[in-house]
Amino acid sequence: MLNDITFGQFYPSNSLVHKMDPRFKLVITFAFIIVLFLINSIPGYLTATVFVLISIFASRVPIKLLAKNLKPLWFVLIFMFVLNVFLTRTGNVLLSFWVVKITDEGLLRAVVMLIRLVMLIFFTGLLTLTTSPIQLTVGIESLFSPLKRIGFPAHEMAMMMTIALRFIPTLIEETDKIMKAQMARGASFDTGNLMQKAKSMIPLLIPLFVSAFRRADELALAMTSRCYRGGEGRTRMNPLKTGAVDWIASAVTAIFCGLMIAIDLIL
Amino acid sequence: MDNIISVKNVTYKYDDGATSQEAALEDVSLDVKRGSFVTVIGHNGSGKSTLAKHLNGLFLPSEGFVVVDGIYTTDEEQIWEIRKVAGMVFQNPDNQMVATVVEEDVAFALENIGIPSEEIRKRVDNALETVGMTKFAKTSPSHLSGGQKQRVSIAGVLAMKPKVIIFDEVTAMLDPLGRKGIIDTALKLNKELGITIINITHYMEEAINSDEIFVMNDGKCVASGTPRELFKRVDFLKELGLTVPVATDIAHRLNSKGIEIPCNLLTMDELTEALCQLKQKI
Repeated sequence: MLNDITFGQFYPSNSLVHKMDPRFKLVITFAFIIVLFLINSIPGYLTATVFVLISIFASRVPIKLLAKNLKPLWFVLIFMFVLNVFLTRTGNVLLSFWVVKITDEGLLRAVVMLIRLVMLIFFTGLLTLTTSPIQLTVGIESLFSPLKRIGFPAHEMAMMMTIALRFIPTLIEETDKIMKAQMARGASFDTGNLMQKAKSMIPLLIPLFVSAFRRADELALAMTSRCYRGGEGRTRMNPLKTGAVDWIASAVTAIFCGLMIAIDLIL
Repeated sequence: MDNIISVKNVTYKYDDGATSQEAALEDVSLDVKRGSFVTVIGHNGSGKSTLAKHLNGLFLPSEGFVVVDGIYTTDEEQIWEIRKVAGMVFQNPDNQMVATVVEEDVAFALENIGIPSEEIRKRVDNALETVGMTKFAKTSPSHLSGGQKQRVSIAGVLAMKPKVIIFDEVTAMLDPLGRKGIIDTALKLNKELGITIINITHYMEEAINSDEIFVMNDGKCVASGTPRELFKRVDFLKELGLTVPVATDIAHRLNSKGIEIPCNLLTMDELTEALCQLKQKI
């Protein structure tokens, strides 16, 4: 049951978006999110939607896959929508009964918030779907490396992320194994109240931690044996390459962001 | 210089407080000839893994010294040179892979020693091909079997172009089929690429094809010799808690029952041959 967790939902393809430099994708995503929260009007959001749709089309990721990301969040989305509709008191009253008052402004705000969140989820989902975890860490390391000068451990952070990603499936498998071993000896993990449930985790967590430390020790030896000595003087098999696609994508993003803000200000 | 590794009078004590003063290694000396396939055998706790970790400077001897390709392992300035010359593959396949993609893991050592990108690509492809894992280049290690993971680990070491590869109980966690695959790979590296192999194990069958065997017991090197010399001493090996290959064991038992059959047989084929000859004589 624990085995079907797939971390980093990479969708392999040869699309232009996949070929982009991860650094550019990170910066573009970040910039788009900021603009997404700056604008407030429906036309602005329609522009944003066009941009997201173009990106999805260029990435050749099936929309269905992206829509899956909405699933765990549908409750939050509906909650936000309802909250905005019912709690906005300003604007022209459209409907009024008992204590409930629905105004046009409230409706507008609810729709805007909904589009904003859906676009946010789609766009960040697109980032993880088109960028492998390795590329993502390499990108993050490279973006943060200017901060090395003020002592920020950019390489160490990226290495930790890589190792964590690498060991998630291993540790999940191990958790499964320990759980079964403890269950075979009469432990139960899903009965009793919250306190009892928390307590029943102890015989699971202790062996897991012990083994994680042992693994870390062995991994350190193996890394030393393979001449690992920090980020200094390291090269890469697949160095990050910035191409025409990256600059074009940045230009398109800039234009759309400009459009979104302009439309928002004018209308 | 004929010996790629020499271990001279090495004693090693674990530094874990004053309680245990017993040495994990005691006055161990051995020489490994360039281009040979050497097996170090011993049961659990015989000190063989401690010995392995001395061979690329992970551990430094308390007394005595270790020389790898002309460099003393105590020479701090050249320690990375030693680790480039002497690669090591470990027991647990899960605990020695760093990256989430097979080819990235193979490239790890090369990235560490600063090889240019195009050269890394070439070496990684070569190494994966040598161990027969090319079609898994883009897979995640978590989707591989134990034997496949170990072959990837070997590729990761192989890509450094080492002169020696130390196998530290690499087969201990594998099934018989995976074990055979690894030993065949090791033999291939030795015969075709001329890489010196030091296989540390407690499976006697793996020792059959080696040029020289060192037997470890209680932190000491108690015997050495070619497989044929050593497997003649069946009783001695059994006393140390080691099993001999089945063919050798049968030959030995037949011999002790008064049937005249050579005692230094190693494989089933040789045993069959000897038995057939015996039958013809009768």
